[in-house]
Amino acid sequence: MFDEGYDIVVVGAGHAGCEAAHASARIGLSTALYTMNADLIAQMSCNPAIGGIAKGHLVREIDALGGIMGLAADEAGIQFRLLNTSRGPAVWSPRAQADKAGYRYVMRRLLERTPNLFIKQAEVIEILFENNRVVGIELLDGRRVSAQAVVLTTGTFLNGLIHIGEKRFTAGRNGEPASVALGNSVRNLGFEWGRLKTGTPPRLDRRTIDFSTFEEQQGDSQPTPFSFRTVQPLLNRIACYITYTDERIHNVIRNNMHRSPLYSGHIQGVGPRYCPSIEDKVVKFRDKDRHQIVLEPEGVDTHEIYVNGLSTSLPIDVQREILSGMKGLESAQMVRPGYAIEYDFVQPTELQASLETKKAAGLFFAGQINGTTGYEEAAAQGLMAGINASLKVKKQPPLLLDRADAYIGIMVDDLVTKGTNEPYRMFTSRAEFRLNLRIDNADQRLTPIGRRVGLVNDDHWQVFIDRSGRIQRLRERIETTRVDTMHNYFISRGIDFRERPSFVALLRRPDVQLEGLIAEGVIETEQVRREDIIALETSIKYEGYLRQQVREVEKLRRAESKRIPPDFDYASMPGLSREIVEKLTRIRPQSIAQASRIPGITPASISILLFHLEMQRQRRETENVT
Amino acid sequence: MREGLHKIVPTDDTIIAISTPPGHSGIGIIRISGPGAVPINQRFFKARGPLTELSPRVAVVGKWSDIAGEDIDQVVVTFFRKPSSYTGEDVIEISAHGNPFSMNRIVETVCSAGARVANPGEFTLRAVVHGKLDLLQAEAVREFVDAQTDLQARTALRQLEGSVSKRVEPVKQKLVEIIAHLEAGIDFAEDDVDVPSNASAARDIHSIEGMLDSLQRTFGYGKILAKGLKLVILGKPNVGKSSLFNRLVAADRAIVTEVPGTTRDVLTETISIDGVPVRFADTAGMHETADPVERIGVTRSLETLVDSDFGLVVLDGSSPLDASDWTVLGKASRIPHLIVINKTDLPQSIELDGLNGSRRVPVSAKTGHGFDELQESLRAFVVAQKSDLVDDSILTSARQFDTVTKILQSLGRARESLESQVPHEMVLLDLYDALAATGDLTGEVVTEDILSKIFSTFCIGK
Repeated sequence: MFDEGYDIVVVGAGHAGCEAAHASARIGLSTALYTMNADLIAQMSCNPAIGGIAKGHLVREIDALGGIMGLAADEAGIQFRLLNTSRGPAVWSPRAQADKAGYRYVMRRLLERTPNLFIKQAEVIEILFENNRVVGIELLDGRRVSAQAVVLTTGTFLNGLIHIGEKRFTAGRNGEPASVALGNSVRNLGFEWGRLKTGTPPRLDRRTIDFSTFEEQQGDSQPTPFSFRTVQPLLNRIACYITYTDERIHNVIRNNMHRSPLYSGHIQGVGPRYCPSIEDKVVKFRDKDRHQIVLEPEGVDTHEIYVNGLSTSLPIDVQREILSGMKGLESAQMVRPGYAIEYDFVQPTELQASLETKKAAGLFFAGQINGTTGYEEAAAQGLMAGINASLKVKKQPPLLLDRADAYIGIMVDDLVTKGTNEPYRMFTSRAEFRLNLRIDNADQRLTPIGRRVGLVNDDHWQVFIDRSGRIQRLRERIETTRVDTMHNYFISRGIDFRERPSFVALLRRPDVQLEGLIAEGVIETEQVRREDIIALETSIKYEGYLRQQVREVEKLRRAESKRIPPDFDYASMPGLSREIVEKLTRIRPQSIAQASRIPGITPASISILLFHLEMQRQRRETENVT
Repeated sequence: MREGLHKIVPTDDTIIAISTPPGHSGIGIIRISGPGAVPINQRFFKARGPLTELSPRVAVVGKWSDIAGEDIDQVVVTFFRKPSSYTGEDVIEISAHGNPFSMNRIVETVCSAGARVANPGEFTLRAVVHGKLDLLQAEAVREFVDAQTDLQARTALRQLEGSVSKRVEPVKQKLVEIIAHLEAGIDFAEDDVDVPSNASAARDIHSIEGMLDSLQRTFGYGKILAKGLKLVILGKPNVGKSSLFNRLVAADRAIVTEVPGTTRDVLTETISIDGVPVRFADTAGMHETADPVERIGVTRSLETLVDSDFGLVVLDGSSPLDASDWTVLGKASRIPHLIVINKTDLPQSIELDGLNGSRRVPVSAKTGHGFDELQESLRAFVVAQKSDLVDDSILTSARQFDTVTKILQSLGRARESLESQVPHEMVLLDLYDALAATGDLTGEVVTEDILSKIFSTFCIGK
């Protein structure tokens, strides 16, 4: 019946698939990772960068749980910047330009060195079921492969359709075939599905660009790694270049708008509002007279340059006209044109919080198939799907992170509770407990969890123990050290003390920075990372705000602990409107807290729900007694 | 985003409700349930007999006071110890006189000590949560569901009528705008977006505070109970405003001299008339002046006037009306006022023809002549204001007032944080609290508004 068999099959070797396969193999389950092209594992389809605001948080969290994206990005990174440092450390986020070829290479090596993991090149055309339970997959070459769980990470390949001006053709990425057979079989599974759209800009040949008028953007002098485990020095090997469009360019775009498939009605899929095409920007922000463009090298061994900000589906001749009108790009040669791509996604309300589908046991989805966008969002879901598929096979309860645990928990909760109508991207503003979800404490929040599920190996665990110790000792040092008020640091700054303060009291002053105190020897410490110092200081300076947040977290956890049985019969409850019963039945929230987050659910219906839950619980207790 | 949690009614705090139907009645019953019930009782209830521990199920006669320690009403208090109460929590039952005004003052006092006004059916919900209603479950379900449905209907109605909701909407919009700008600065620091300076964000918040302040003053209930009535004393220099003020508040606060124009600032003093705090504002005389210091005082007088509920126009009975007097009378016509003719101890040469129909009271601030009548007139005015409150919207009004107060507190904290350069992600905590609370007033729950606002305001995405 089956030609081969694995515990877990992962379909697709993009950023979601790599994390999923690595996680399940690392946990100890035999895992097959299927890709249509084994040379393009972990391909960065769009911009040559990992991380960014909120996305950098996701990468840190993936790393803290035992995932590999952070390690790969550190190794393949060619320019590192910590973003948002003018604000508090809760919203600092690392970003790195990556060498695209290098990233593929590093990721493939990491996968190949993972025991139990087998890379397979083949096209998957169908998922096989028995009694609503996944049993395996079928390949285009006719082989059938058994699996107890299947993780589907199809990216833009599922019925992918590329648009460049008036031209349309099926493709998964430009130059690669789409998954049409698998796409059609997924459409027939009975899930609520739809179309989304994303776009990518043209790539240029570095030798044909005049960089002289551009503003240069360099990496940080002290690069911040994504991974707590990275020990090798990080190197800034390239610069990026900033320039702007102008009104003349906007006019070229306006004059050709009728040739854009976005505006001619050929594209039905919804695109991301925060990553609009240049034609969208020109139409929707009419009075903005310039738009920022960043030229980002695709690697150190290539001339190819990514034109960030110029994502477009306009015809190639218009793309050329736009470029030739831009200072410095007048004679730029295009390596690849920009294009838009539409693809199938499944409404993520079809999923449980474990990322397993509600309708088919053993089938997990991760990445763009769930309506998200971004490498980091995909990788984070891949990791969770890989962990939960493994736990499912091992007959253990799933790992569910809540909104106070991690950005990953927020993303999954948003997706499965609210669904999405546009490609979903992570933002720090989605995090109601943002102050606690910092990059500097990702390991404190998540590494013990990763250890528990078997993903954090001994070496990684030791790194965690060592770092925790360093921070703890720094804290103790601060709490027990007496301040030398006659130190030159204070005298030179004219800081006068009426009485000798504790270090904690000293740090509460807005004009005193711990980093400076350490640098100038007011307090002696062992070597600690800059972000650890500042995180510790922040926890002292803004203690009140953090406490406010902790109280809110407690409220959330109480509401999360009010569980709703999966078979709860909403229709039989008096007082709920039909619309609300329909919503609750479709989403099947796990807790009162989740129910409260479903759009359109009123406070009164939450009270009614709570009331009935209590009554039902008491009835059960009474029945059990008698 | 912060949707969700605030839809869940907590079941572990202290709630209060008036259990008897609205309007005047012989006896009104107020119930407090939750962990704060006993401490609150201890703080505000003074038993008539010797102070002893509360005994469960024993009715005790005494007085209920407000925060200032002033008695509100004579009441009978009965304590039900948990779990032997209706809700299964500690319950204090207060039987008061069925006067809506004093009952609401009791509610307000208790709320200021940390309790909150209960939602419909909430006592029943707690009874269920604490396993108290097993025998009466069927009935309880019906009652509870009715109460919730009623709540929904009324929220919907309120939205339709939209009185408060309509006025809060611009506040909410403005707040969403401020939050969106601060959030855009955080989430799209890499993009080409303009982030407002701390000073301009603080200014925007200040303008919202102004909008809410005036909204708050329109709530009859809140206006009178929490803020009290504002009474302004007006008149040209040296007609004896300060002497009148001093005699009325029976304290020596204003400087009184024979030189006109010594009261350059606005002095205030609060007294209680019929249980209502009345804040007197004494003002600098209103007349054209070149003295810059005095001019500031005069400008303030005008501001105070616009802000007041009621005025006393003071005229000097010993001299004829002049242009300054008419100016004052003209300005005073914007608000209800009494005309006080001072200096009856001197020969009278004022001619009263041409004065408007406002009530006139002749007094002598020097001798105290006529002050009984003046005080009686003030009392009549206060009572007239109170009578507006005796309807069943009073509790809604109390809840709204509380909510606006909370929003104002959050906004104040956020503004101060901005002014002291606290990072925006922390300032936003208070702004989100304020935004969530506006949902309580508009009856709608804020969801993805912020991101949508960001995307419609800024061109995001390189």
